Amino acid sequence: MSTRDRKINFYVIALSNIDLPDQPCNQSEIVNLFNYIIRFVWQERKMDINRENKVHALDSFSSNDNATYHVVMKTAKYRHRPPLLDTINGTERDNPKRIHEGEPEKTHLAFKVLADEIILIMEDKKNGIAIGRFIDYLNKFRKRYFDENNNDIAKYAIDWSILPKDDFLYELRSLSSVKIGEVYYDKQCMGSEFLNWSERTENVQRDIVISMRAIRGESIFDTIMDVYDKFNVTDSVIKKIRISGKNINNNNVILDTDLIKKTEHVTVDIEEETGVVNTAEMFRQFNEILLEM
Amino acid sequence: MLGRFLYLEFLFPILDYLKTLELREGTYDLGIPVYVTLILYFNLAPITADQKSIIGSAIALLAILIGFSITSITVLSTSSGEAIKLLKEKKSKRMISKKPISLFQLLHIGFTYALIIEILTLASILTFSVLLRCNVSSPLCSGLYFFNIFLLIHIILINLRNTTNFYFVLFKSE
Repeated sequence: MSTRDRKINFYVIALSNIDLPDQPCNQSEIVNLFNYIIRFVWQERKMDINRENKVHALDSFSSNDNATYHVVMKTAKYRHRPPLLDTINGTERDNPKRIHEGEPEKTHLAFKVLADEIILIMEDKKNGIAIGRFIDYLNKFRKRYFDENNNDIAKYAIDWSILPKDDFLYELRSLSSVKIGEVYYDKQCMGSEFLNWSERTENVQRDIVISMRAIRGESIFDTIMDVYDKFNVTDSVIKKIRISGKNINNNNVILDTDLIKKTEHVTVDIEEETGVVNTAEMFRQFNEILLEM
Repeated sequence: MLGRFLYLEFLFPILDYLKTLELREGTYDLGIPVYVTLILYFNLAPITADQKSIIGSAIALLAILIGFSITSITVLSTSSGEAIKLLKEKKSKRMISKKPISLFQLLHIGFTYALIIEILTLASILTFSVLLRCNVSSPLCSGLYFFNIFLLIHIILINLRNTTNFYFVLFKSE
């Protein structure tokens, strides 16, 4: 069995309440949404993009002990049936494929649900589904889910951001603007070393977070650079920096010093007959990465 | 050089205390006493006969505090409890001679500094008392009077901080 490198991308998905943006949302509702979608038959589950002659649909959804979730999206391009070329002797023959048929391309995704966001790993596949289209797909069913269940999820918007894989500083410099910065201080900075020693602050569950927002049309890039200098020293009281900004393509980007990973590829087994990747092997590697994060 | 002819090693705990002082601790230990002393100076100077009566009370207070500090150092140095053992192993962020000190050393510096400064304050108050009896010029007496007030407030706050630190040390072991 041969192997192949597959490029992967990291994203943060978050359900946010449209009416009350500051109110925390139950991120695990996304699992209910997938369970809702998978119940449909193919005809209802598919999303047809006519102008591109492409169909996307959720092919499978499963849970790995409720720690991580696995998704396979299937994509097919139709109205494309050129004759088949024999690469040995150069002869062509008519393509037996019907006009509404297409080769299925699987895109593998895995995610884990955190308290206030969802970390998603997605296979980067040219002929598969891209993140924007995937979110469109979820949003399409989110509305239906509400209509049928009168569930609060309708009030939720599904936002996504890129989670870059490179060095934090490199990624920070590549942003066109930085809108929000959150600096997480160690809760131990509240007291003296003796107070910390006594473990009296152990019941303070979370770290101290200082939030900074840029005024409209401005960027807080320089401020974040100053904070990063303080973060990047030994025994810094700053535990984590997380920023939201836009890249040059105007996509939302989240930079998180905890979530910066160097992993860009996974090496997976390929089925000799079909050239398709081994799904189980792909998800095993996704799990390892997700559980580390 | 001076150290060859005069014993000055009692300055080591004072220097160690100053080296290991953090900003907010400095504000508490030194800033508040300076601030209160300045307020008193501008409202009470020149000193009157009534204010001179503080000498007796201050000597009594210092005698008690010196006893308290000696007891604290004794308890700290003779204790072999689990908390104290761990305290000796736990490194602090503070450094002396570029080496991190343990929390135990930090606590020890606090109590020893308090004891030394209490003894020096006692000496200063006794000096002030002698100067008064000898009718030495008023500005010198006045300066020493308010310096003693500063030292007394400083000592009270240091003892408060040391006691709180000791409380946290023992609290963990429970």
